[in-house]
Amino acid sequence: MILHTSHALSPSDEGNFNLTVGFPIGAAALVLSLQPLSNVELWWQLVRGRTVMSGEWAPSRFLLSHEVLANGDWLNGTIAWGVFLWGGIAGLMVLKIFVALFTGGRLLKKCGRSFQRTFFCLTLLVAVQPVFDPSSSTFDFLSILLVAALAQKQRYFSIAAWAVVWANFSTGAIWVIPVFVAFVHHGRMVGVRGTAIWVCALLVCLSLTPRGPLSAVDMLVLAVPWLFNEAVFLTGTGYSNSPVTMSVMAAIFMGLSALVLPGTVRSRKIIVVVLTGVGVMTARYLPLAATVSGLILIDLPDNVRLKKLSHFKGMRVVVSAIAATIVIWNVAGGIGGRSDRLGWGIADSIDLRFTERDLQQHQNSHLKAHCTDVNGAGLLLMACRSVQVLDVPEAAIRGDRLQEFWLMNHDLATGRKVSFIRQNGTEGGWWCELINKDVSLLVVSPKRQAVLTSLEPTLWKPLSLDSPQLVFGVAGIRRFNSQILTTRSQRDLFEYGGWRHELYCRTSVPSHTDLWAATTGFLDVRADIRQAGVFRAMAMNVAAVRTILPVLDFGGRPSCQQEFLKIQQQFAWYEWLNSGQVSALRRQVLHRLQSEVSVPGVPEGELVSDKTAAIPNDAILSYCSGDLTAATAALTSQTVEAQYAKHVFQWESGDSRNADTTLSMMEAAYPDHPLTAMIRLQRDVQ
Amino acid sequence: MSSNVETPRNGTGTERGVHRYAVAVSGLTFVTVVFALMIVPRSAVQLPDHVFPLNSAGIAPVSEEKCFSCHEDHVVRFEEAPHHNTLLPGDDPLVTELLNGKTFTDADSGAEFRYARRDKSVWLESSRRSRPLRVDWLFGSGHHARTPVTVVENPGGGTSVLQHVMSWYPDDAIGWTLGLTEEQRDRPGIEGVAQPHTAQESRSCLMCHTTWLPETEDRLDLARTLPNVSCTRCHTQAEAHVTHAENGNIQDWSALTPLESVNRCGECHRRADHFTADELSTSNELLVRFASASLVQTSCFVNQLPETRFDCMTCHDPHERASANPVFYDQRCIVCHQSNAVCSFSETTDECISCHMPKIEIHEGLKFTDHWIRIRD
Repeated sequence: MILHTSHALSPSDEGNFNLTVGFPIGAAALVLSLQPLSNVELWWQLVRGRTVMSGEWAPSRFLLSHEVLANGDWLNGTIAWGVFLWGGIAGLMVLKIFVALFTGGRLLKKCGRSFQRTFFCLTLLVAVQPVFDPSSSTFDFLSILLVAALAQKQRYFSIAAWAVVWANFSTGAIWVIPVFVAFVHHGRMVGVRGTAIWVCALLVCLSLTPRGPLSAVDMLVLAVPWLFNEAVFLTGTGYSNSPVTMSVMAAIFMGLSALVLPGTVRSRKIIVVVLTGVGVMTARYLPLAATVSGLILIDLPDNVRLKKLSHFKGMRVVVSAIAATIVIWNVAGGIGGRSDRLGWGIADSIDLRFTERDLQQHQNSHLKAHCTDVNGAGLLLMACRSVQVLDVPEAAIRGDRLQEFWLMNHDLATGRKVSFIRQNGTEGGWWCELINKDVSLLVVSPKRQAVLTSLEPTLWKPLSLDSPQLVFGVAGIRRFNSQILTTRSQRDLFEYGGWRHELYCRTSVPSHTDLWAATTGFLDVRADIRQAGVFRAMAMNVAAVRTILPVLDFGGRPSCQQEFLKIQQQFAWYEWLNSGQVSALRRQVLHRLQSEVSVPGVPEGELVSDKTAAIPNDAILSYCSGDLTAATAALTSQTVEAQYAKHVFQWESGDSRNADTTLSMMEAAYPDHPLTAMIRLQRDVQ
Repeated sequence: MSSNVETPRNGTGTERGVHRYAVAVSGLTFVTVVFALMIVPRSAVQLPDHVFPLNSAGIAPVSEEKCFSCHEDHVVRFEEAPHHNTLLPGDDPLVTELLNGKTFTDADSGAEFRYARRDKSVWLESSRRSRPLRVDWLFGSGHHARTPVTVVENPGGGTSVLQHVMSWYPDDAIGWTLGLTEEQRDRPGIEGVAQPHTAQESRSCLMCHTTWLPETEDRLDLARTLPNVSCTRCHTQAEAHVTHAENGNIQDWSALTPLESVNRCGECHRRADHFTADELSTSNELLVRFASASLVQTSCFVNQLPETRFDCMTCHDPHERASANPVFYDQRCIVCHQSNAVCSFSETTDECISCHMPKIEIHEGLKFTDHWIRIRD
């Protein structure tokens, strides 16, 4: 392949270059970091840091009742905890922005005057975005950059020394080996044998932790957990990939590698490609794999003929368009609002304030808890210093307890409450398991709606309804009684009272500033949709629809429509179950939402449609867009179906007085109609 | 965008090497993607068989016919046992025989209930619901009662059992289902006719009344289920036993400790640790229904000696109907209580049961033996 160097740039070209390349990269770095902290492991790592700083050198053993061995990465979280002590959430945000700008600056230096490199730097910036949130991955990311630089300068003893430090801070320290192998050949390094000796030395360095040689084993297990665990047990733990994501990532990465190889034909490169390819197979290591492959690519000589920058027409437009896309994408929260958007502070999903409120009375209680995920464990331990958690996925994977941890969550989700014997001879069933382990708190992620449904008929009751992680205690235990009763009365208010949900802009929340909403008025409704899902899982369908209607009124998004559909299906099912028929209102709403009238569980023959009793389309449209006032106004007919729909609209909007009037009219006109009975049933439950 | 790559027409040796590497990596990419697509999806949704409950394996357990070929006397005797008759499918002729034409009118509310056969099924018709409910299964052996249920799918995709408020009782009449309070008997809507259970609760109900309850992606597969408690529900490792009969490696209950043994029965008859401390009280009359939970509270169980093993099977043979003769049970008591060497509380009479394990009526005409053996006030 013929390599060409670029032409020298004139001073005006340099200026243009700084403007067209420097500004987009800097802006992208800033925008990518100026988003609320959302790493689900944040509090878990901070609590580990706090534990170490308070003099406990084996934090996991202190915090987890199932952990028996010391941590290799015992210092993990200490830096973040130090920053948190210094500046709180703002301090962590400053750290995040610093890391992003540092990365942007480093990449800018590497851009040279190459279009390909600039394009690649922008892509890399997006790929490594998750590591900007302060975590052990941030440490891994910065360490990779450091080790690559040291290897190029042939400072092997410094690399070894850093490997020791790295191993004590993070289980990602295993990346020192592929990075070393990838960059060591740039100098006058000894051959393959010398490299092998240094790799062995690095492995020894990685073992210089309180956990000894096992720490290197831990690193390997966490790097490729799917080699040591059945894939099904990794689902929901943060260590699994969906098959599609995994395949796409593998294909992209290996394709990228195929591009790299022609530029530098060395057998060691293949090793690196394979190792980093393995890293790609675990989603959480994708940013680190991207960093390694990015560093390799950037260091390659240009393999295309470059023209003088100013001569490359459209280059500015392309780069600017890419940068603008990244900026807008991230500022607005991505497609469908799946990711965080421009803001400051901490994301709703990991907001500590709610958990602190729920557990205020139990801060000094020596309790044990089971948490369905690491976010719950972190929030709980941060709120209560004396609490111990059974396990978290990372520790369970390291300690070969993942199956036990996962099956507990599975038993909770599938309602396997009473004890039973599994085919492998072990005992299943969550009820006795929790009692035997002296567990008195359950922390459930709102995403695990099956668990919420499963706990409904049991003595485990939520201590609140609106937390990002729902804490459950056992009814009948004195310490929880008052909170459970308060939550019970809240349920009644949300479901049967005159409660209305109102959307609010999170610029008023001290821990979270939504800059996008503040400037554009587009509210972040993810927490509202999540809350509706929680209510639905707890069979509080009226509360769920009352929560989702303002979101629809605001301009619902697909996830909102999906939640609304599920709630309507629940309503239709309950109508069918209780009265043997589904009302015209629900049938027409379902038809509007899914272009067909079908409800899982209801035989098609029993979804009969009476054309004469149809609800006006305007009413259905208004209802589906959350405007209950317009929906009610559109109902002019006095048929029983119309009266029923009117009652539903009034009831769901929290207007219980007018709903009562409508019910009185129905009882006078249609006393024996099943729909009148349906409303009476609703009131009787109340 | 135009390509600026200059490609030489005749590649050098280095370039051919480069080409080989590129081809190799592309091949590796292909293999990786195929591997990911083939292996991961299957394992991501499918739980391994070994973590399923004994009666929820992916493949059907050893059949009763297989057991019959070597253990004919046991199997024949077991056919009449209550365990073997805990669940009848709705289309079983016995369901029609027991329920068809039975009526009940609640004196207080005036609500009427009637079971009638239509279209090969038995249906519950009631003045409380416009549409009848089909009897899909009949729970219970009939020793105490038999309760019909209707099975429906819920919007979440799970299976929900609707437990009828009417049950069949040994006096060949239907009446309120056991456990319903006065208030629950007069509920509007579906609850006035049948009590809906969540998918999770329904699974628990069915687990104890079936030998095999297969699941497909976390959904109950009732079309394939094997109803009733049969051999392999309790005798685990039957597959290995059938394959290597000479090893006799079937589950040996005598190898279990007394507590393990009682708790195995308690999987369905309730274990003590299924209850809260408040519920485990002699003042809790409903506890009388759950013999295995009560039994382990007793001094006889707690202070037993190894040579006089005491668990459920000391008095009950699960392969046959429990004896109704109190003398049979008195004799079991005397085994330990006839000598001070075994128990310091020697017997003073040969009528132990009537005082220490009386029958308690918890429902009209329905009595259960209290297994919390004790001296009563």
